[in-house]
Amino acid sequence: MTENFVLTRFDPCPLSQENVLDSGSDSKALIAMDVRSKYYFVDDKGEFFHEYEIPSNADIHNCGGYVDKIVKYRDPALKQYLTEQGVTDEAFHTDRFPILATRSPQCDLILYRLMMFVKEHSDKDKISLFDLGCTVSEHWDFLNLLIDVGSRGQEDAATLMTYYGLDKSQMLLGVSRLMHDWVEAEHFNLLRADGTDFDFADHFFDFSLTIGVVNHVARPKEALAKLIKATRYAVVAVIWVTLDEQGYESFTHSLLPYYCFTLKELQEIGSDNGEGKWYITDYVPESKGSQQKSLIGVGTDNTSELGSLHLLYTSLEGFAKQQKLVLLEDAVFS
Amino acid sequence: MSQNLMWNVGKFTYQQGLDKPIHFMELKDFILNDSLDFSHLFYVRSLRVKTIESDMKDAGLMNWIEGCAFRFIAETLYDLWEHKLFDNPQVHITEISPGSGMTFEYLKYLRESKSNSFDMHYKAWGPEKYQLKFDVLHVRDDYAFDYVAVEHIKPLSKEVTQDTDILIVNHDQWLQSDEGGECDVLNCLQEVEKPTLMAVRVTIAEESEVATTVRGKEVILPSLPRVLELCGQKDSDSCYRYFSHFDKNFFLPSGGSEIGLLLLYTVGQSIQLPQFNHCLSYERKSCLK
Repeated sequence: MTENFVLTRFDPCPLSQENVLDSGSDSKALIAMDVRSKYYFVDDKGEFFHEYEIPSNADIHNCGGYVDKIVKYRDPALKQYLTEQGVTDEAFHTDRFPILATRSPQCDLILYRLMMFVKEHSDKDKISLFDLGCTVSEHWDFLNLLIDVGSRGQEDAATLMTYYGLDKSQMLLGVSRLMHDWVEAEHFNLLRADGTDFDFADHFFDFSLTIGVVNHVARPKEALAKLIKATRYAVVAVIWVTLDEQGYESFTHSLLPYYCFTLKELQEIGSDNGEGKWYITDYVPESKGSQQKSLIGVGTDNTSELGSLHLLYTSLEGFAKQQKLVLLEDAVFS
Repeated sequence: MSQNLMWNVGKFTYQQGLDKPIHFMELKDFILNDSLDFSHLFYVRSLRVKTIESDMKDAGLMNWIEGCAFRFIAETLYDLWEHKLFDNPQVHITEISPGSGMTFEYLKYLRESKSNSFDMHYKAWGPEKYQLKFDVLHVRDDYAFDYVAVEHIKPLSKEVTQDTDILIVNHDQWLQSDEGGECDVLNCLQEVEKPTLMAVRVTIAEESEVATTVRGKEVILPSLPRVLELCGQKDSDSCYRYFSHFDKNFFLPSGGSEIGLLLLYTVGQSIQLPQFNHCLSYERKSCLK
């Protein structure tokens, strides 16, 4: 068979040094934008050759990545591996299951340990969890695995947790429902709303979880404040920050407004809305992230100051001490 | 001589009214394939669970689904069942290259949406990397299935068609996926003795042609006249339906002949479904108009 084409991958729109939205317009709000997803081909002179459109809806793209996590979490081989190895830090770094070392399972591991800590030090038999930006509820599945393995099959997420997942995507919530249709609705609650539009009483939830969602809700600071207020023991969060002194506004690739917090803002929101403290468990500079061009308009000048903080906001000082966690205020960013 | 092309796949952001993108974010191939497969699967599942059907509707997704053969395969199989093709109360179905199981899911939907319907046992033959996905996505449903992981789907062994009432060869899915090997439909037609249903991307040229998909997969497309000729010789009752220019942009333009989708069944009985023609009745001119 002779080859018709030799294909080389290229970047059709490399990052410029400056923020492209800052050049030529004084107001970002006035720029109307369209997003199209497609395969795109140019010839060796750079002239258009061919394109093939695919769905542009971010919910569809998210469906792939998040459902794939559930598929991996439900792998019987993974359950067997963790049963043999135990739920330990070492077990989470293995070439056999590289997903264990990624962001979400690492956050879930902290959350699982927090749950076990509270269970051990209180008489609670049911733990409530708020998953802000739950997509298809993949965190439920990984926690289910850890609880099952950790209890040697005596418990699972359905018996230990009352789960509340909130997402603005009706499609992803629909997929979540289909993938958890055997879990009793009483302990598996799905809510559709923007990530700011929730109102729960103070300390309504024992724990909360949010992975990057407070950065792209309608009112980011308000959402984070409400999340802290609504949570009794601990908020496990990944939040994008800027190391600059001013918060940074942009847009996601899905044209959603995006806000990067300053460290000072995090501290203020924490102290104004709860009794806890911020602890840092990891920091990933944007230049080392897995999706470096997820923000529209950001130039290379800005990305050097951006990164994602893996955080724990908690008043459980005993837990922080046990896990040797570092206070955010003491963290050094190099 | 080969032509050099530069390419990518992802999200292009344009300032309205302008052609030049202001931003591009690459979508990873493997995530993209899963995204489209899973969304398609859950769309069909939502048809079964009517309460959330509207949640899954998206114009872009609906448009993309139109470029897949799964629904046509399932509907044709169901119609064959309605025309009394199968004697057994439980129909044993085998599909080669099933992806994440969309044909299976459409069959479940059709079965549940009709009052008088069939019982089925479904067996998939596909690559190992789809096995876990397939198992996880279908295991909680109340339908019997097996997934047999194979490195390559060629050559077809007797084992594939053993205990099956009908073999589905999903060349369309094989071609759209990043599965390796070769899906040799002519070989299948020659070798398989069981009732067979095929969805094949074909060229209307007299001989097979090489084509390249947008995913960079170089494939040999069988010749429509050759396939129909072979099929008619094997079973004079075999029937086909041809979809001209089906999802044509999926292939890079190369100056070759028209490409379309061929849906074909050869079942050893005289069953002519609506919109299908006998393979022997094919006239070359009809496609070239």
